[in-house]
Amino acid sequence: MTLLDSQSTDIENDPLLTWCRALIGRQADHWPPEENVLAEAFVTHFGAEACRNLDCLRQLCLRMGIEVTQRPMPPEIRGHNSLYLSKRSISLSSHHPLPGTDEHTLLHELREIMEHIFKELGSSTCSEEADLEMRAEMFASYVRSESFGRRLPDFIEQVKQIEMKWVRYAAYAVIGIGSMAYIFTCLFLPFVEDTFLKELAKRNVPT
Amino acid sequence: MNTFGLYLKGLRKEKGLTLKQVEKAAQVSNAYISQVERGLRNPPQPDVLKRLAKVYEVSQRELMVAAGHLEDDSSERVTREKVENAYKHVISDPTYRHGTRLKGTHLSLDAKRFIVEMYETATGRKLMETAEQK
Repeated sequence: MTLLDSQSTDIENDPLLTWCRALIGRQADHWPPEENVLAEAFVTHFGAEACRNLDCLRQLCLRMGIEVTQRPMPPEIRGHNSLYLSKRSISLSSHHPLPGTDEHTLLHELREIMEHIFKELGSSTCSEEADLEMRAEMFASYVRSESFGRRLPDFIEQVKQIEMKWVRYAAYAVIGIGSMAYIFTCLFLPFVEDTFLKELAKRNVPT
Repeated sequence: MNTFGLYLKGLRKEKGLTLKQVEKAAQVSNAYISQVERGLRNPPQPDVLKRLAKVYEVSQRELMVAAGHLEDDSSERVTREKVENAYKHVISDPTYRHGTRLKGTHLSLDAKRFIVEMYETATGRKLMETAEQK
């Protein structure tokens, strides 16, 4: 039995499957899409707020029928996803070395689940498992930075309300520097994470 | 055949460490590690393996067995085979799809055991128990 067979009665209520189908239809001429295009479409459809933090992402997954849990895992595994019949789940390692790792890992696992669906629909985006790993890493980075970028005007709007001029300018500066730092960490988190963990290994700190 | 040296080099590469970095972290001369990796020296003594195990994040026992200092005793071998067989079953089951976000490319026995446990939870099938009963 395929994934689609097991869900055939519930396709209308499956937001992820519906979105994947619509995306394949829209991008038919340019399939497979680049990960930034996929991430942009994802954030546009599900909303930047839905990707704001881990709790919001958990809620989004719940709406997609994906159960998200956190549990201890062997040190080399950061996250795991599975699909069995209509059951979808994502597990995150309870050890999170850096802020943002959980959100990144959850989006990575979600991208892999999406790939299973694309495959079932006859529209895989890659054939090699290593390619998928790379794509999922990029997808996670892009979704986080894209959703932050879309929430940025709200922050700026709030700062505009500040009456004291110098406080307002200071707030603009904080937002500017903070945004650049945040987007940098979103895009380079896998690299930062690896460097950080290697540094710990070199210092013999258990991870 | 330089099995141990290649194994040791593989562990270092997976961690993305240079010989100098290993030297600093494990307090073992980089020239010596290089010679062991190339099969020019015998596998290190247990005290050196203990320090390398910490840096490479593997159990000391795993390194000791690979170096030939310890016998891969039958119960451990049986467990390993059991996990490997169960893992093969998991990756060949067309009704079950899974993925992981991995650090490195090497799946340790513990990682495979974890994946098997996740499979058992999702499907309700008990692969490890079945293997034990056999």
